[in-house]
Amino acid sequence: LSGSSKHAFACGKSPLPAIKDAVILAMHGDNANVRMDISGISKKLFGNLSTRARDLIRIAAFVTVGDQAVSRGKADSLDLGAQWRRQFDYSIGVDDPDFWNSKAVRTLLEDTLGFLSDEVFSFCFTKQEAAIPEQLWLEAGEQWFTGASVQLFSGGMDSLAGAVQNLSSGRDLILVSHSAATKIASYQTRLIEDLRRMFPDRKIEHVSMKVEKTDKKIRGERTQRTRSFLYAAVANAVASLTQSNHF
Amino acid sequence: MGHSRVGRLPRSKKWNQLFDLLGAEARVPPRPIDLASATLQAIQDDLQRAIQDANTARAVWLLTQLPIAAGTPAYIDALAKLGLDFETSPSLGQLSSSLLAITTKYDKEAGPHSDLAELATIAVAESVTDALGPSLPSLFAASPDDVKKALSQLNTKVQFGKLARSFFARFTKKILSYYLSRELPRHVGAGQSFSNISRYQEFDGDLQTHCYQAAKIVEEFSGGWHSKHQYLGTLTPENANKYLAYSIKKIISELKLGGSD
Repeated sequence: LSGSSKHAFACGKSPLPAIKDAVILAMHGDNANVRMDISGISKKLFGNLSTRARDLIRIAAFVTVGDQAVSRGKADSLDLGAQWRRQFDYSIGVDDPDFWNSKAVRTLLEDTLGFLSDEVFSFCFTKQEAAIPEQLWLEAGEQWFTGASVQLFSGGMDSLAGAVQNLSSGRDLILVSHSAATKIASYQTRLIEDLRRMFPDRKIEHVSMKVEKTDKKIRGERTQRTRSFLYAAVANAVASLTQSNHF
Repeated sequence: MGHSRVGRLPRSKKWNQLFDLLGAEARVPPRPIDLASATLQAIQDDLQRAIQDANTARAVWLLTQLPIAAGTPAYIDALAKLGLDFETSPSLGQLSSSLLAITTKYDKEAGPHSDLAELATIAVAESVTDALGPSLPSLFAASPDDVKKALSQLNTKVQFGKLARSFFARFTKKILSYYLSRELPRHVGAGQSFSNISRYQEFDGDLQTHCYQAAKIVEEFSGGWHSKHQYLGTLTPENANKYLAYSIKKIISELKLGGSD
């Protein structure tokens, strides 16, 4: 996708909105073109998540996919950022549309994503036709523990140093990662193994997520400025499940 | 925040002059005036169109209005009308960060900020902060009242002229660097136009000086323009937009010629 800087997406199993030329993103059904894996959270645990926490993950996943679906222009573009700063209209099927459509929440969501990505978002939420927990593809869960710190973990130096600091302070850790590429996932795994060896008395859990676009037409951009929002949404869910008060 | 992209200049005909200056035969640092001239030659038409963008015009409107706002009793309300929301008179840091935050605000009528609007807004924040410095007891110990007083003192023919010169010097330097920074770092190293990073930094400093010298052309004019339109009651966004277009045109001519001290 490229060209105009305005782009519309209709997401999830919701009544189709009145957005002209919207690209449909779906995680479920015959036209599914998005797949999300969160390994480390079992289906059973995911079922215990609050409606809003689940909605937030769903919103963040679709935003991440839209972010990577539309080109921000070429490296030699001299359009003064016209393609870089895209405008997105999202219509997303959620379980609690009244909450997400409230002015305060919607403004906060639009401002947060605008700050993260340097572009303009507008949202409209509809009631999804039915609660479809299996819409999110989940692998089997592992042992969970409560009261641990939840930390975003990219595998880079900053988050590694944060993990060492947290573990040195005597905290157990749940690390939340995005593993878009196999190479990055293997770095993350190796680092976590090293951390476990360095801190044998501490519990370290790893939640790794992957959002895949199964349709080539929605692979248009390599930058992923909104991905931290997806990490934060998953980390929020993990913190909620484990009753963690340290984020 | 997050991923960025390092751009490059397109290998198109209108950039040939610049590439020639930096080409394989170039073994000495090019002169700022030559690179500025080649860059402006390539972007001049697009630039004249681009500065008509609503958010760029708004940045210049801010520049013209801040000194006036500070001289009114309803200072907070006047700032609010400019999109700068404060509950009490701002400190210098608060004023400066609020100006910079404008680049992240989205106005449905004006649309998203262009890179040019962002450069203009940053140039406003920098030039205002810089202009207030000499009038304040110190940058960090200055009270909000000190800031208000110093800001209001910029509303004279001479002081606004100096403020405008500072703004246009910074704005044009940022515009030139926006393009040149895509290419010049590729020409640093042994046998290149810039033999080392120090020579490149020297060039950058010289380019800044060149822009400041060229902006002299708008100093007196700006002070007179601001003063006259206030007196006549014709200081409007539309007139500020015309002032921006005229000033940029004058500076571009001067940058190509070499400017004055």
